[in-house]
Formats: sequence, C-alpha cells, structure tokens
Amino acid sequence: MDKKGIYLITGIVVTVLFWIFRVEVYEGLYQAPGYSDAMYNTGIYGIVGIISAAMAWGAAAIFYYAINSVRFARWWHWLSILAIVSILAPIVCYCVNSSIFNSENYSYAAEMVSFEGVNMIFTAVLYVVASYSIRWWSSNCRHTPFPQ
Amino acid sequence: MRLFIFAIGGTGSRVLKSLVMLSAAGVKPLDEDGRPIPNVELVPIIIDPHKSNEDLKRTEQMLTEYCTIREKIYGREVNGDGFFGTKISTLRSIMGMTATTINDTFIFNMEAVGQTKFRQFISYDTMDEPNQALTSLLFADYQLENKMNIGFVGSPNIGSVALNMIKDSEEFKAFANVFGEGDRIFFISSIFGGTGAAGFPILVKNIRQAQNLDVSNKNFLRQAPIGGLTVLPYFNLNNSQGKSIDKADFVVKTQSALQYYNETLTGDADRNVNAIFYLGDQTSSIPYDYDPGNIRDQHNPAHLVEMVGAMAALKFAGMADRQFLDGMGGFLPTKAFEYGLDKDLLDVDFTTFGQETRHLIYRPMVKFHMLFIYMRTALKAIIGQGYTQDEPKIRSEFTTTQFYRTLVDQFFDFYTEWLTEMHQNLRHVELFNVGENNLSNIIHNVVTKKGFFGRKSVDENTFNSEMNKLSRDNKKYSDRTVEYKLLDLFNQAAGNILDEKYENIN
Amino acid sequence: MKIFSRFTPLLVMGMLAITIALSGCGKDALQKAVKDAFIKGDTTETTYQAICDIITGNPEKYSAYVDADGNINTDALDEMINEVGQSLRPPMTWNTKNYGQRALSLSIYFERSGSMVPYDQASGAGQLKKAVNDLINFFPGGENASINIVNDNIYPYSGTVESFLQDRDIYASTKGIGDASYTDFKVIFDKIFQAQKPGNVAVLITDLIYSPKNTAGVSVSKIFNEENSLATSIFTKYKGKSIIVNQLRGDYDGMYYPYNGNSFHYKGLRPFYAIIIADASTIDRMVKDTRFTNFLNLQGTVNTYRFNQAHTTLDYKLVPVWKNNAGRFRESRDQKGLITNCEPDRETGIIAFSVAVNFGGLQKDEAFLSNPSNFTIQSQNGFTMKVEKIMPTDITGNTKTYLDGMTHVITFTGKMNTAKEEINVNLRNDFPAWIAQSTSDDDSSASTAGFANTTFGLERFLRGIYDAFSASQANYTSMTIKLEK
Repeated sequence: MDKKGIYLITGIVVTVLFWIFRVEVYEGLYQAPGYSDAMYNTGIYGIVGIISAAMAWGAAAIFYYAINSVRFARWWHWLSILAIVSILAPIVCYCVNSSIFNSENYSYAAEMVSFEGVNMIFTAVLYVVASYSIRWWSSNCRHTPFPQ
Repeated sequence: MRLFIFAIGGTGSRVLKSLVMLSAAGVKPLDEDGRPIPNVELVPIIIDPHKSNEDLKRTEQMLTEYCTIREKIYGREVNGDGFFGTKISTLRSIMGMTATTINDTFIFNMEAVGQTKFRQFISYDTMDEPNQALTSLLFADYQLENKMNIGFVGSPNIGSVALNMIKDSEEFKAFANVFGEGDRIFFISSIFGGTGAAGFPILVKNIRQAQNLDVSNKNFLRQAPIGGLTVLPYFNLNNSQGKSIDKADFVVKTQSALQYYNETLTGDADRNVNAIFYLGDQTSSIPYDYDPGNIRDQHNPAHLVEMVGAMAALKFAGMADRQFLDGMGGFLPTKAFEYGLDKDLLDVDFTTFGQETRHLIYRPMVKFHMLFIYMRTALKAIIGQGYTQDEPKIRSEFTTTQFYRTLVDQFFDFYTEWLTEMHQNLRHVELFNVGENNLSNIIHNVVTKKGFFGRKSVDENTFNSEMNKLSRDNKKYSDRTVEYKLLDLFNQAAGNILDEKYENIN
Repeated sequence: MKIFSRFTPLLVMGMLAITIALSGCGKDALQKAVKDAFIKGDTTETTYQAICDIITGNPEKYSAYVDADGNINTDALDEMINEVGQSLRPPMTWNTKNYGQRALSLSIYFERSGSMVPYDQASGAGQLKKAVNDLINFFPGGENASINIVNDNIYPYSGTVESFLQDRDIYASTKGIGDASYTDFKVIFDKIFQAQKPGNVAVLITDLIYSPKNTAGVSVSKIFNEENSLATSIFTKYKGKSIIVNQLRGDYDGMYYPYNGNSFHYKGLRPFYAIIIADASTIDRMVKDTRFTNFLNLQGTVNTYRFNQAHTTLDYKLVPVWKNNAGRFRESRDQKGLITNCEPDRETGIIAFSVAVNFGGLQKDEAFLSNPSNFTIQSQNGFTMKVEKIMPTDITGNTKTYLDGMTHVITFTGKMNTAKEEINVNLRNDFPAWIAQSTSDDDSSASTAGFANTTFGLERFLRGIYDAFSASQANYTSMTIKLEK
C-alpha cells in the first residue's frame, strides 16, 4: 500500500479509536463532578463524538473536494476552515448537549461551556487527522497545508 | 525520418522562422489520415551569403533557442509530443558532433563566398578576353563589383554561379554522408529574389547528380523525395526605384524562373522535384524597406505567406512515399500544390483557413498561445502550490533557470514579435487578440461556450486546476524533467480546456 | 485500480459514517427505555410494566425475555435491567423480582382475652379496631384474609372479612369463642408458625401480656424468666421467620387483670401490639414493594422493631454534587466505594463528600436513622458523619441520578492526613431502647408510673425473641468507603 493509503487508514483508525474511547478521551481533558456522569449516562459523549468527527471530516471533505479551489488552497485557507469547524462543531454540540440536558432537567451551564472548549481542541485535531487522511486525492489542495 | 530543409535566402529564413513557431506550438506533419507522423527530425540548413541579413539572424537565434528549450524537455529524444515536440538539429549535431570541419550552426558556411566581390569570385581578371567579353554580356558592371556578403540582391545569374560551388563544400559533403534511407529534402526559396531563385535548381541538380560526388550515400540522395516551396512575389519594397531588387522586375523574373523550373525540375522529363508548392499572394504586403548593406537591412515583417509556407514543409513531410515513387525505382510525375484561404479576406483569423489548415494548426497554436500567457502571467504565482509540488517539484528557482529565461523572456519575445508583425502586415493575420491577457477572450473570433451563467470563464486558475488534476493522476513525471512536466501538463490541460470551454471551430 | 483509488476517500468516509451511525444506534427501544428509567429516576412498577409491554409488543425481537405464551421471563429481564443499571454512573440497581410474583396472603389473629375487650368500647376512639382494619385494607388482597380469634387456642372467625371490617363491636360478636381467661403464647405462636404457608403474612393483634394459668403467688422474676425462655424456645425453631413488633396505643375502658390477680377498672390509654409474622424473605419482599408501605408503616404506631432482620447490603451512591461537599475528589469507575484524587478544600484543608443511601428497606424511623449514635464509624483520620433525610427540594435535575431510590445523604467530613483512608460505617442492630422503656415489672395498679405506656413483662418476652435471632443481627447494614489522595 502506498503512503496515501496508510495515511487514510491511520486517520480512520484514529477517528474510530477516538470514538470508541470517547469517554476516556474527553474525560482525560475535562471532568466535572456530576456533569461527567450526566454526560456519560445520557450518552452525549457518543453523540458529541460523532458530531465532532463528522463535522471535522465533513469540513475536510468540503475543503478538499467540494471547494477544491486553486484560489482557496493556501495554508491559511485551510486554517480558516479549521477555525470555522472548531467553533461550529462545539456550538452544535453545545445545542445538542443543552437540549438533552434540558429534557433531563440537568443544569450544568458552566460545565457545558468548558467541555465545549475541550471539544474544540478535539474537533481541531480530528480536522487535522481527516485532512491528512483525505487530502491526497484532492486535485487542487492535496499540498495544503503542507506539501506532500 | 529526417527532413533536410534548405532555406535559401531571406525568404527561406522567414519561412523557417514560421516553421520554428509552428513546431514550438507542437504542429507536426500529419499523415493522410490526419495522424501525426512520428520520429520526424528537422535539419534546417540556411543558405544565405548575406550574413548580416536580419531575418537570417533572427531565425538562427530562434532556432538555437528552440534547441536549448527542447533539449531541456526531451533531451536528445527524437520523438516528442506537445510543445517543441519536433526535434530540430544542426547538421553537425546529427553527425554526433564529430565532424570538426563544419561549424555547429544552422547556417551554411559561405565565408569563402561572402568576402569577395563577384568579379574576384569568378576570377574575372584572369579570364582571357573572349571570356571577359562573355561575362560582361551576362553581368552588369555593378554586379561584378558587388560584394557577395550582402547576397545576390535579386541577381539569380550571380547566385547560380556562386551557389554551384556549394557542392564542393564540407557542409554539403557532411549532408550527403549523413543522409539516410527514408530521409527527405525540402527547399524553401523565393522565385523572385537572387539567392533563392538561383540556389534551388542548382542544389537539386547537385543532389540528383550525387553519383558524381565522393560521398557514401549517393543512392539515397538520388532516390530521395525532394520537395520545394517556391514563394512567388508577396511583398512590396520601399524606395525600390532603381535599386537592386526591383519590384517591377519581380513578375518578369518569376515568369522566366517558372519557365526554367518547368524545364529542369518539375517537367515530366526530369521529375527532379517530387512535390512543388507554389505560394504567393496578390495582395502585396506593406512595403518593405530596401536598403542593402544597411545594418538593419532585410528585416522584413512576418507574413501569412511564410506561415503557410512552413505548413508546406510539414505537408511534404507527411506525404506517403507512394505519392512520389512508381514502385519500379522511378519517380512519379511531380506533384504541384497551391494554397487557398477558405475566404479571401484581408483580415485573417483561424476561421478564415480551410478545414485542413485548421485541423493542422488550430489546437496547437491556441494551446501555445495559452502557454505564452500562462507562463508570463500566472506561473510564478502558482509555484509552491498544487501541481508544482508534485515530483519533480517546480520551485521558485525555476524562474531563474536558463530554460525559463530562454522560453519566457526570449522565445516568447520572438513569438509576440512574429504575431505582431503578421498582424500589422497585409493581410492582417489576427489569430489571437494581441495584448489580450484575459484567457476567455484570447482567440480572435472564437468565444467560450455558453454556461449556466453566460459564457464560460477561463482564467489562470482554470489551468492551474486542470493541471493539478492531471498531475494528481499522472505518475509518469517522476523520472522526467520539471520542464517536461510543466509543458506536458499544460499541453494536456490546455487541450482539455479548449475542448470544454471554447466553441469548436474545427 | 485507478478508479478505485479515486473513489477511495469517498468510499471510506461513507463507511466511516455508517459505522459510527450504526454503533450509535445500536441500543434498541427496550434498552433505551430501561436506561431512561434509571436516568429519570423512574424505577417503578409502572415503568416496569411499560417495559414489559415493549417486550410483549414485539415478542419475536425480544424472544429472550418472553416465552411462546407471552409470559415475561422475569429473571432474564431483571438481569438485563440491572446490567444496564450497572453500566451507568454511578452504577444503579433496580429490584424487579417482586413485580408480578404470586400474591401474598394475610391471616389475622385477633386476641380475644379478657384484657383485650376494653380496647374496643364505645366510649373509646377505637384505635385497635382501626389498626386491624387498616392492616386488612392496606394489604393487597386483604379482602381474602383469613381471620382468627385467639386466646387459649386459635379459632376461626365465623363471619366474612367484610362483616369483620364493618363490625362495630367485635368482642360482642365473638363472645364465647375459646377461653378468654388466659392467652397461651406458646400455643399461639407455635400454631401460627405451623399454619403459615409460603407467602403468608400473619398479624397477631395482642396486648402482649403474658397471662398463663395460675400465676397467683408466682414471683415476677419467675414469670419473667419463664416468659423469656418460652420466647427463645419458640423462636429458635423458626429461624427463617421474621417478626415485626408494632406498638400502638388505644383507649382502654374496662377491667384490667394484673399478674397478681387483683383486677381493677382502668380507663385511659394502653399499649397494644400488632405483630407481623412472616418468612424473613416475605418481609424483605414487602419492604421493597411499595404496595405494602402503608401495611408496614401502620398508622398510629408509636414504636416498632423488626426481629431477625438480616444484615442487608447497603445501596449507596457517591453524590458528586451536594451542598455540603468540600474539596475535590473523583469516584473510581472500577471499584465501588473507592474515591480517588482527593484534594481538600484549599482554605479549610477539609474534605467532605456525600453518599446517598437507601435506608428504606430497614424499616427504621427517622429519629433512629438521623441519630449518629446508632452508627459505628471507624476511620484513621477521624472522619465524622452527618445523616440527612432527602427532602423533595434536594432532588434537582443534577442530583436526581444520585438520589433516585435513596432516602438519606450521609456526609463524611474530615482531613486526609494519610495517603489512604478507609471509613467503615455500621448501623447497629441493638435491642431497641423503647422496649425497656415500655416495660413494667408491676402492673398491679393503674397509678403506677407509665401505666398508660407500659406493658407488663414486655422486655423479657421480646428479649427472648431477640436472643433467638441474635446471631444474624449485629448490624442492620454497613458501608465501607476508601479514599486515596
């Protein structure tokens, strides 16, 4: 298998592992009394993990395959997509988290914000992972952010 | 197949210049089915004693640049597709640079001729009286006093004498020795000037009588298909009253020369030339300055006739052997060709040409023009991105290489000059909208296709994007030069874009 | 191959999305309903029934939990439910085994000795009759109860449950049954025990005054020792039984027959007892079944004590969010009762953590449970504890997970001077003080102090029972919490 295939497989494995070990991964960086249990019991780690992974991969796919523009192929363009998805995904996750918590009458406003801060980091990391997994087949952006 | 092209005189140089431009664009000889003929190598030999002839100097420089560029792309390989695909070689280079007696140049060495006056060249002073009397009858006094390094200035009678010496030269021997089976010979000359009109029949005669020469490939030479482009008057001269090349003489000289050709070259009895291309234009060019001996003399602007003439050489190269040979060791009667535009207009663009011409030159020339604009306006900006990052990488240092400078700064200067001259001339040849950098709008009278939001737009990123895609899917460049990669990618991309984005005129 | 390579990223991304989506949707409606019940703190029989409905609604899918006739496999379902509970944080349990079990039966043994008659006089408030009626009414299936009259022996009541409940003068209508002059506890308890079938709950309504024949002239001590030995000897034979003694008080108006035989008229409050007798497992089952709450917590009960109450495992959860918590700590996910990463409060140096516990099954009153002296706490660092009853206002969205099914929160407070700490808490099963306080050695006169609140020889008899079961009842329950820095 060539280098690209290895990157792709690695990216998928990393993402799947991230999702499988989502509880450990998220709680490794952020744990709050009560909040973490509520997240665990309501299964929000899984939902947030999927949303973040899907949005990160989706953003990468959009950058590399939907936009795929010569005009939008510089590293700062890539970085701007990273910034957008790193902000957007936590916002979406926050809304999901908040709506589920509301229906369960949990009130962890401050904890949710802090958690999404952590989720922002993971989304960014997943975007980088996704980028390095799929960029190789993009016609215009395969050398973004760094040349092969 | 090698095609030895004897470009004789100023017209020869100018037609050769057009041939170089077409070859740079990737125009190649096509067979009867319209497919490119592989392995064609052009070996131009410029015969012109008028060494300070500007046309000659420009052509020679262009040829040298062509070779420099091509070697970076294809190395010494004969076959090449795309830009600069046709190999052009000097006589010496095809001998493997072993011959020390000839120079590595496209110009036939006429040193021995150039520095002398005609009366010295023919040893007038040592002739006996009857001969001197005869000579005086054949040549005017001023002709005898002419120094021949300014050419034969419309005097075929001088040229015929001088050029007959060529057969004894080292260059001619070298040519005869490297000439192989299947190779062909093509002559480019004007019928109305001095050097060409005289040189063409003399050289043909010498080749066909090769058995008299002390060379190894006599038989090949004698049996070689020979083609000739005979350019009929197509330009006017300024200040021509009483000067050496007299416009008024042109028609007279042409008539008598044609008569002579018919007797010695193309007549049924001789069949010395297998294909003859007659080319001229009754609509005369803008008047050319005529001032022999001046430093800028014979700097004549490019003309449509020369470009069409270059196509004649390619046409000849593409003809099958059976069009010349009768199959029993003899030649078929000479094939004669003329050329006509599809529409007799003074403003010529691609749509003015007939079908065959369009098929031959439209795609390559448009692609080359796109390359010209892309290289000058867009390449530097894309370096560091996209296809330039694929192996072999095109780095910013690339723009300082000899290749880049030769192509972009020098060759393209010649190219624009050539286009501009053709445009300014009569007929106005406006293939491209000169000075137009908007790639959607570069081809004169050809627009882009209609898309969803009006006409499709083409810009440098259309090319970048297409090249990125092609480069991604191509593995073949890893052991090629960056020059090859760049031009080959562009050639493919431009072809795709031309098909996808522009209205089809073929 | 080229085509493959070009579509590889799309292909793989699609597969990734499907994989994640599938694994996310893996839990079916049944498991989700169970999980929701836990998270919402809704582990009731109604919810259990709803879960059963999901199963019977799709018997093919849930064939593991239902047989061909549509009967729920309660063991398998209970196992699944508790597996789901264990997967949560903190792990939760839900005892569903009582749901849908065979109904319990009730047998009322109504003492009709001479000293009982004055409890149900028209002049009094009728607390005794009301208590009996409540016992019948609050027992699911109580309308089918068997009613018996007890004195020298056990005699069946001739009427129906309905007539018993509506009878305004039960002593008048049962007059003449047996010999009302004495009560033979040996015979009565023996017969009750022997007659008791599995699933039967017997209730003896009595004044618990030991009145054998011919006590005249016998010393009090002799009577008491006899009573004590009698109790021990009877109950030792029935170690599987458990007895709840509920002390109530009722208006008394009539002749009182003290041990010395000099009867006198008394009008005023007197204690009487509703003694619930059943297999220990049956009582355990009733304790966990809310339908028996009113039956077990009989209105008017002044004191109560369950004999032969086995040590039960305490259901408890660490409450990470509680008002009294101080410092920081983390509950171990691997080991129950282990708290790691303990960091004291920066200002006070104190660490305080709270544990929600379920004392509901212990059938202990609030005063008993809230009194720290009933607990034994062992701790290296001298942690102290405070027990609070969970109030409805304590249950918020954030705490409900931890407080669901719990009755009290115990907050432990102390300083971690060592790297590790182990706190052992026991709720002691002591012989209750109220029994001694409700006992008199002399009932010869109504003017004796505490006559209205005391029963002659009560302690000796009940201690006899206590001693019979003493081996199994050192502590009601216990809990061990380990702390690590």
